Amino acid sequence: MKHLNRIPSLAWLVALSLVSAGHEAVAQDDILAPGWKNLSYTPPAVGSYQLPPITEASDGTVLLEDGTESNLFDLMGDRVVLFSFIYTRCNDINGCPLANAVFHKLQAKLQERPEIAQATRLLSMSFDPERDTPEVMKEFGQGLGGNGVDWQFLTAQDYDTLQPILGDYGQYTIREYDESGEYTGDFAHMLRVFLIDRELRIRNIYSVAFLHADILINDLETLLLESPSS
Amino acid sequence: MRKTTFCTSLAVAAAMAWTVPTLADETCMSPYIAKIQGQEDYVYVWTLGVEGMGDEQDKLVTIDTNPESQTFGQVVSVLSVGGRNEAHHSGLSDDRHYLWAGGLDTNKIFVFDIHSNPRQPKLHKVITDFVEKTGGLVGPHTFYALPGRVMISALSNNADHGGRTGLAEYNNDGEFVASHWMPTDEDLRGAVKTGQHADGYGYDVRVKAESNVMLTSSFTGWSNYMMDFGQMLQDSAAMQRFGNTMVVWDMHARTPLKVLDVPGAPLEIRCAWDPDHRYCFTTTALTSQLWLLYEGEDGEWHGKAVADVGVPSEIPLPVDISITADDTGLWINTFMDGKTRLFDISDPHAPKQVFEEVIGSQVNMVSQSWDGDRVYFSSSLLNNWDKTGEADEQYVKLYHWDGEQLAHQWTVDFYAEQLGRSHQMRFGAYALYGKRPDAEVKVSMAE
Repeated sequence: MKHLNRIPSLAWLVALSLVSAGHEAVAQDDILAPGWKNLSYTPPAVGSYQLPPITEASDGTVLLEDGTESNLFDLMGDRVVLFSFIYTRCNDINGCPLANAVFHKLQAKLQERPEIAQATRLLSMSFDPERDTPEVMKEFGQGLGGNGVDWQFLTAQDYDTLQPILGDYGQYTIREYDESGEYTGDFAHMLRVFLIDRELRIRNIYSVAFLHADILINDLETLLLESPSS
Repeated sequence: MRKTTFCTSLAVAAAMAWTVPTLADETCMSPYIAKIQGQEDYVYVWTLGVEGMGDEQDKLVTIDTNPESQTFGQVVSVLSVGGRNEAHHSGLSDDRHYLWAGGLDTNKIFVFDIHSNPRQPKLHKVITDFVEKTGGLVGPHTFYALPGRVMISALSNNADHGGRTGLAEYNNDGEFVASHWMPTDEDLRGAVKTGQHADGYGYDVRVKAESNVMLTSSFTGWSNYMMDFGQMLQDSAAMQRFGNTMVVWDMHARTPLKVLDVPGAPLEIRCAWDPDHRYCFTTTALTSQLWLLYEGEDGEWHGKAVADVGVPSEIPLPVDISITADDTGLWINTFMDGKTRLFDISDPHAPKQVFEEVIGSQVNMVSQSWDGDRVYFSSSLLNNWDKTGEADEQYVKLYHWDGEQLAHQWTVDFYAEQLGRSHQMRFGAYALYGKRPDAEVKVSMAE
């Protein structure tokens, strides 16, 4: 197995630096997804809306950062979960780096809201198991999780174990090839982040258009206001 | 090599339109949907069956649209669904793996698999309990992709078969998620009635994501859209049963905020692509006006008529519209005179007609490629509203647009081919799925 990508992608480094520096807008503002910037509208108030169950979450076998095997359902059910599919080489500023940056922003908000943080778990799972080994995912996530926020970085043993998970969540990916037919290491994919309640039901699916920390924390709080049987 | 992007925000789509000159896709799709770069390979035409013609059934007709193909401009697949359902609109799931197509009469929803073999779609699922699941919605019309879901606007209800109706949300597996009824005078559902009407009617649905706004328009109920057109025109009571409203919704909360008066049955809604262009357009079928729905400086959404379409007193009946990717042009079809008109909407508050041409004796739907070079037209409106005799032409036509003129490329005559009445057109492409029509696969799905 190759271990080609121990270093986070350039896009992710740029993204993280922007977030860390507190920038809400940059020169390329016109190409940045809303999640990089201040939200341009006031989101609906916490508890003022419903998030009807969309479908059931799915289980699957994953690898934790220490390489041990686990089931997704071992990481769901006790907390509300935000579940994101990424790969560490991703260079699309509005793809995986956006998902990571929004989680990073959310983490900062959660640190100020420990009552929500202790009921929330963030999961970032790679769909590139060939390169994103547990070791790579651990290194990638270093410095991101912790501080009272449970943010875990997952991968799969191989494509055979990964593919059913991607299929169940509708997270389709396409390998990209260059003009000579060589695999570039990149994937075309549609960014999707899932909000999963404690009864293992998907309650929202976020796209580039509205994946934003302000919306995520409102949705988390709205779910947590529900009684367990809602 | 064609590439596919799955970036789905309005902002991203608009940015890519500026940087990638060969983008191609119809410009009226949901901002949450996967986009095609390059030439579309197929157009899928949801087609009404006609009694005494062919197998008489509604069907999905696939036309080869790739000019490099040996079957360019030809029907390459016909998939009949059994019976007639008043086939009308169709829409794609956000990943474009499935095409959803509705029957306004039977309330059936046909979900076609268009990704396994884009050249030969398969019938994947038929939803037969739409009315029951949604709590009484009738007439599934617009199928609008949301992330992992499809928002369906209905036209009617099963209590009185009038125009009071709502929206239904399904997940991509075809399972019901929620209903969202339109606000009415009896139950405004928290919305503010800003004018004379709160009729609760429905037709189209579109989202302006940057504003967290969803817009719905209004048409008429089952008792009218299934009535003979000539008979309806003579029925003064029936003619009163048309929608006069649009509703501004909080998209995230799915709650109605405002009911706007837009008299005369506002139908198709198209929103600007530029994230800074906080506006959408619609046309009114009965009053033949072009309306602008826009976010004002006060942060509120407003509506106003900004142009006439043709001569309103002649009832040209505006039907489908299509906005260009750069927000400068709007194609408007008028059914009665068979014309398409192009309006310059560079100033959305003062659109001007800059071109018109007769496409056929009756024209309804229009779909254009993202670059605007290719414009497709189809003909059918409703089974009981289409023209009769010699005027009842049924077709799909491809034109090339050079910025000044439409140049006809080909016509598929749906009556000559015993297919039926051609309605909504949606594009497909192999590149969406990492596939190629030839043997040399350049991209592939991850294993």
